[in-house]
This record gives sequence, C-alpha cells and structure tokens, in this order.
Amino acid sequence: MTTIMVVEDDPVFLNRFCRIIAADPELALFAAVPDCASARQALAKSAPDVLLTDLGLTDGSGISIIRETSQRYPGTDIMVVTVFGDEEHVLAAIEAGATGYILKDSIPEAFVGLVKQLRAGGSPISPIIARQLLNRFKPGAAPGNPRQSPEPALSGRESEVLSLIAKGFSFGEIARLLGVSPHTVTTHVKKIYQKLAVHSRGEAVYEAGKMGLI
Amino acid sequence: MKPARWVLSRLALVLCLLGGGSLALADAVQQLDAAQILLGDTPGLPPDSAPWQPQTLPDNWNVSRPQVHGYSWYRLRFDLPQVTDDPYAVYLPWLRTIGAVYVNGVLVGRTGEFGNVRFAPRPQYFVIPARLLHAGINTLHIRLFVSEGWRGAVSAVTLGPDTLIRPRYEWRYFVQVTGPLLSSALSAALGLFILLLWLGRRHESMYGYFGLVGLCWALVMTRYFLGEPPLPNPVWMTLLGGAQIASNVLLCLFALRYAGLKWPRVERAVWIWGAVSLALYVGELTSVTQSWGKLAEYWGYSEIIVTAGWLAVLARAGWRRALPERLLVTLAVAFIGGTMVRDTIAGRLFGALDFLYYPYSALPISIAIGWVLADRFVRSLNESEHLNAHLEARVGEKHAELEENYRRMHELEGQRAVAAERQRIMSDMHDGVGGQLISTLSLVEQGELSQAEVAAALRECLDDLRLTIDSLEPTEHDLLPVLGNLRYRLDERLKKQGIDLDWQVNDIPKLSCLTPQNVMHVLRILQEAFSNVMQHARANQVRVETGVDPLGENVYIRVRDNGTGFTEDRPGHGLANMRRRAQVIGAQLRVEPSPTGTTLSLLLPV
Repeated sequence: MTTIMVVEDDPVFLNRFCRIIAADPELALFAAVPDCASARQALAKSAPDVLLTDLGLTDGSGISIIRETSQRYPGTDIMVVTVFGDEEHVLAAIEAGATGYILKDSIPEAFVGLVKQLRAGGSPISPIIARQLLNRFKPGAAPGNPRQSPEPALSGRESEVLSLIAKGFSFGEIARLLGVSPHTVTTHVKKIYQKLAVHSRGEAVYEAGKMGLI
Repeated sequence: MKPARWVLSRLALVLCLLGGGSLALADAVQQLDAAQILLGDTPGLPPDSAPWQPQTLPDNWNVSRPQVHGYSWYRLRFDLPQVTDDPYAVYLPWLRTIGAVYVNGVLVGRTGEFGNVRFAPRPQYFVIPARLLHAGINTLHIRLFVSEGWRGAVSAVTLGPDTLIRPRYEWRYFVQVTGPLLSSALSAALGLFILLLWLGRRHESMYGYFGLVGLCWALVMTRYFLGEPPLPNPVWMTLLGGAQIASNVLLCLFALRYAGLKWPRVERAVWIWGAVSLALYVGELTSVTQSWGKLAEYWGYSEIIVTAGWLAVLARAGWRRALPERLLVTLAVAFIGGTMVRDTIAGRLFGALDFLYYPYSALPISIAIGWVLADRFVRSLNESEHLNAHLEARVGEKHAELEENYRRMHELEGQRAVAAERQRIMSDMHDGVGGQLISTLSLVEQGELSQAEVAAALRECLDDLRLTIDSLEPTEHDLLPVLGNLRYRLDERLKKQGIDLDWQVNDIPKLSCLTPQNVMHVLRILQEAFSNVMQHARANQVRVETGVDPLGENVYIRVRDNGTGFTEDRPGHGLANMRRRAQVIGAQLRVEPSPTGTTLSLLLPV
C-alpha cells in the first residue's frame, strides 16, 4: 500500500486526484490539502510515501513544501503537478528535491503508472529536460553561476542515459541499447534528479556563504 | 694643480697682503720689462761686451721679427736691496718656443730640450736658490730657441719670493693648461655621447654633426695643454689644422640644421671652402715657397667669414627659441664670438700672448647644446607619457561608449525579440489552440458532441498548447530534443491506437535555422504528419528517421508509415499548411505515397 498526499488549490483537480487514488487498491490517500499551511500541518508528525504538489498555491509556492519535505522525510517521493511539464517549473521542483512530475490532465492509468514507477525507484523525464540537465551538469555551466561546482558530477552511464533521452529514445529503447533493464534506466534518472537537488543545495550554500548569510 | 688648492693659496696670499708686516714682501715682487737682446748663439753666456740691443718685454717675435728663427739671448738686471734665506723665483707667464734661465750666470732651469718644437707658450716658473743672489744688482739671462716656422715670444719677467709669486704661476697654469685640458676632455666626452645618441637616431643629422664638432674641438684644444706633439710634427699639425677646419665646416652644417634651414648651395660652398682650406693648410705646412704661404695666410681670413656665418645662423635660430634655450644659445654664441674677436685682436694686432679665452669657447656652446638635447629628451618622454595617458583616456572613453552602444543595442535586440516572440505566440494561438477552442465551443453549443468527444477535442487543445510551450523551451538549435519531446507528448496516444513507433534517429549537426519560430513550424508539420497517420492511414507502425543527406547539405526528418497511403481529399487544409510552413523555414517537404505506406520527408538546410 502506497500512501499519497495531494496539495492542490484547485478543488476540481484535488477531487480528481482523490478519486483516482481511491479507485486503485494499491494506493491510499494520506491527506488532500489546498494550501501550504495545511500541508505543513498534515506533514507535522508523519509523511506519506508520495507527496504530490502543485506549485502555485494560494499562500505560497509548492517549492518550499517540496524542499522542507525532501529534507525532513528523505523516504518520501515527491512529484510536482504541472500543466505543461515545462522545463522551468520541473527543474525548479527537481532542484528543490522532487524526483518526478506529472501532468495535471494525466489520464488515471498514466497517473497510477507514474506513482508506481516512482515508488519503484524510477523517474519520468522529457527529452528537453534531459538536455537542460546535461547543460546543468556541464562543468561550470550552471546558469547564473559560473562557478565550477565540485558537487556530484554525473557518472559516465548517467550522462549517456541523459543524452539518449535528449535524443528522444524511450526508456525501453535505451535499456536495449545499453543492455540493461528499463527499470535501471529510470533509476538512473531518479539518481540524476537527486544529484541535481544536492548540486543546487551546494550552490545555494555557496551563494549564501558568499552573501554572508552563513 | 687642483682649483681648490689654488683657491686656498690665493686666500693665503690675500691674508698675507692684509697683514701689515707683509707689505714689504709684496714690494719685493718685481716686474721686469726692460731687457737687452742678442741675436745668434754663443757657446756660453755672452759677455757684457757683446752687441746687446735694448728690448722691452713682452717681446712677441710675431711683431718684432716675424721671419727670424734660431737662438738668441735676453739679458735683464734687477736690484735686490737685501737677500734673505727664503728662495726666490722667476715667473714668465709665457715663453716660446724653448728657453733656459740663468741667474748670475748659473742655470736655474729650462722649458724643454733645445731644438725641439714647442706648442703653446706656457707659463714658466723657476726657483732661484737664495745662495745665487746677492744684495745689489743681479743679472738674469734667458737663452731662447725659436724653431723654424714658429715665432718666438718672451713675456715680461716677474721676480720675487717663491711663496709670493708661486700662486700667480699656479693660477696661470690652471687657466692656460689645465683649463683647456678639462675643456678638451669635456668636449670629447660630450661629443662621443652625442654621437652615440645620433647612432640611435640617424635621421637627426644635427646631433651627428655636433658630436663630430665636439671631437674636433677636443683635438684642436690639445695644442693648449700638450707640451710636445705626440706624433711627428707635420702629421700632428695637419691633424690639428684639419680638425680646426672640419669643426668650422661641421658647425656650419649643424647651425643650418639647428635653424631648420635647407640651404644646399651654402652647404656645398662650405664643403668646398673646407676642402680648399685643408689643401692650402697642408700646402703651407709642406711648401717652402713664400707665395704659397702668403696665399694661405690671406685665405686664412676666410675662416673669419665662415665662423661669423655659423655664429650668426646659430644666434638667429637660438634667439627664436623659448626662453632658457634662447638665453643659453645666444650667450654661448656671444661668448664664442667675443673670445674669437678678443683673441684675434689681442694676438694679431697687439701681439699680446696673454692667455687666450678661445680654449674655453667650447664650454658654453657644449652646455647649451647638451641642455637642448636633454630638454628635448625630457620633453619627448613627457609627451609620450602624456600621449599614453591621453590615449588610455580615449580608449576608456571609447570603451564606455561602445559598452553603452552595446547595451542599447542589446536592449533594442531584446525588445525586438520580445516583440517577435509575442507576435509568433499570438499567431500560433490564433492558428492553433484558439481556432480549436472556438470550433469545439460551437460544436458543444450545438449539442452535437458526446462527452468523450468534447474531452478528446479539449485534450487536443491542451496538446496543442503544450506544443507551443515546447517550442518556447531553449533548444540551442538542437533538433533532436525537439523531436524527442514531440514523441514524448504523442507516445501515450500512439500506444493507445496500437501504433508501434520505431525511433531511428541519428546525430545531426546543430541547425542555425532552428529559431523558436521555426521550431514551432517543424513541430506543427510533424504533428500534422502524426495526426494524419493516426487518423487516416490505418497504420500500425511508424518509423521516424533523422540524418544528414549524402551531400551533407540537408538534414532530413523522415516519417514513414505502413498504412494505406496518403490521400489529399481530406477535409481541412493539412497538407497545404504543412507546405506553407516548410516554405517559411526554407525547408523542402516531400510526401511519397505508396500502396505499402507513405513517406513524408522534411529537408532542412544545414
């Protein structure tokens, strides 16, 4: 049984997610809240297996919820809910600690599939985001920060996976090309996401240090 | 003798004179100018009975007997009221060419080897031991030798206690011998220095000329301090005369350069004058004929004209300069002119061989030219520094200007880009999602759509919107992620329709034509192609290939299905739109229908 918490300010979609979760025997609703404050309250004592959050909430950004949760409950998989799956929103969420994203209008099967994939250790990724990630991890190429980051670099296999994804190959095709299982490919992606989060935290610390905050 | 010592001794003399008791001593100094002369040599001191002739001193043979040479005797008498134990001395400010001095018949000293040549008349000084003198009348003999071609000269004789007249001699020696030596050395050093400078700046011939002048002067001045010629006399005299003439020629050229005058004729005349002078001078030295000598003598006056010429040019040019240079140069010129006139008049007209100022004339002009050089050097350094600073400031200014321009351009560019992007998105919304929403809306209003159909239509709108979003992502002219994202978007639907996607993409170069706008066009073309496959082709397999054509001119994207072939008679204007878009981005669109499927190729220029 996988427990899921949904943070979504649009009641229609909140209901929609709740219905999908209720319909699947393997999923259980942990909490369904409309804003940051109630999300924090819900997360005060314990955490779900999966946190699903929108970014634009009435009393703040979902990013802060993602960041707090990923630091307090590393065992929780966090997914960001996005309308377009565009690079800007997704990367910001990943940097904060999310390891997956889901389109708001996803059909129930896709939704359930993604949640299960995430629980199994895999993450979804689009080719354009893969390409952006490749750029991010290029030494010294982090946007807005010309510093050569000593934070975790991609392994050879990871960048290989990323560049194949950027060319539009599916996880299955990549698995065949590299002679591994599709699951291994998706876990690579999740690891890459986690590295990006660490990477971003490192940069944030560095920036803060530079500004005299720490 | 060192000047400092001389000053001290002078001071001592003054103190001595100031003390009352030494007045008697000062009186003891005698200036003897009444003498007798006896021409011709005698084996010993000539007796009083010889035919002595009265002769006043100084006796300059240049005036009194220009053609005579050989030996002669002078006899002077002096009265000493008493004799002390202090040594006496005899002092002659000048004597030429060789002389020996006897007091009461005893030799007290001589100025050199008889028979030799001697240069300038030098001050002579001989100490007389007290025992040679006695109270009353004493006699002093001077034996003189005048070498051939030279003129004899004997100055008045000063006689007195050694301590009193030695300082006079030493001062005289300093002025007449040491001074010219220093002047010559300075002239040589400055000449060499300026020549070295000129070697580095050959085009400034002015410095080359002046450097050579310095060396010539140094050579000419040796005659005032060198006792005996260091080379055989004719050779040495030729050298000195040559240097004298050369210095005049070079000074003319220098003066013209300094004044900035380009007078080629004058320069040629000066060169000719120099050549003639040299020829006559050498001729005079070697020839014995009287007429030749006369000619040379008359020609010698031309030197005055030449000298006056360069002095005038220098004075005129110096006068036009700024103040310190004007003062230095005109004073130097005045000094040279003055000493020349003074020395010439004194020497030629009055036969005085009192000391000459001429040896010192090189000093002020050397100082003046040295100052001019140093001034120019300092000024050009300052100028170059100033220029550098100025240039730096200018560069900084330009830099700031360029930066400002760049910033403005950047701003405009940004504004332009924003406007273009706005325009593009507007038109895209209009063509795509806007139109779809309107048609869906009207169908819903007419109640002609089932709920599932409405959902499908809206989902299509959403997909369309996502396509627009994708076209906005930074792609950096890389086509494959764009294609990949399209696949990513369509995967779900293809799977649902049971269409198998064969993804055969090969690496392709970055395409400069791939602006966000053109990305949109490519996406729309491919979207249309896929929707054709899904809606009309009844295919179960689609293959997507990318690569570079064999000529390397185009990148191709091929979408091949195994359906029933492409039909043009569908509603809407799908194919026409695809062609229009291909045309806009400069690509070629090929549709090749066949019974076993349709191949659509989009060729993009590399």
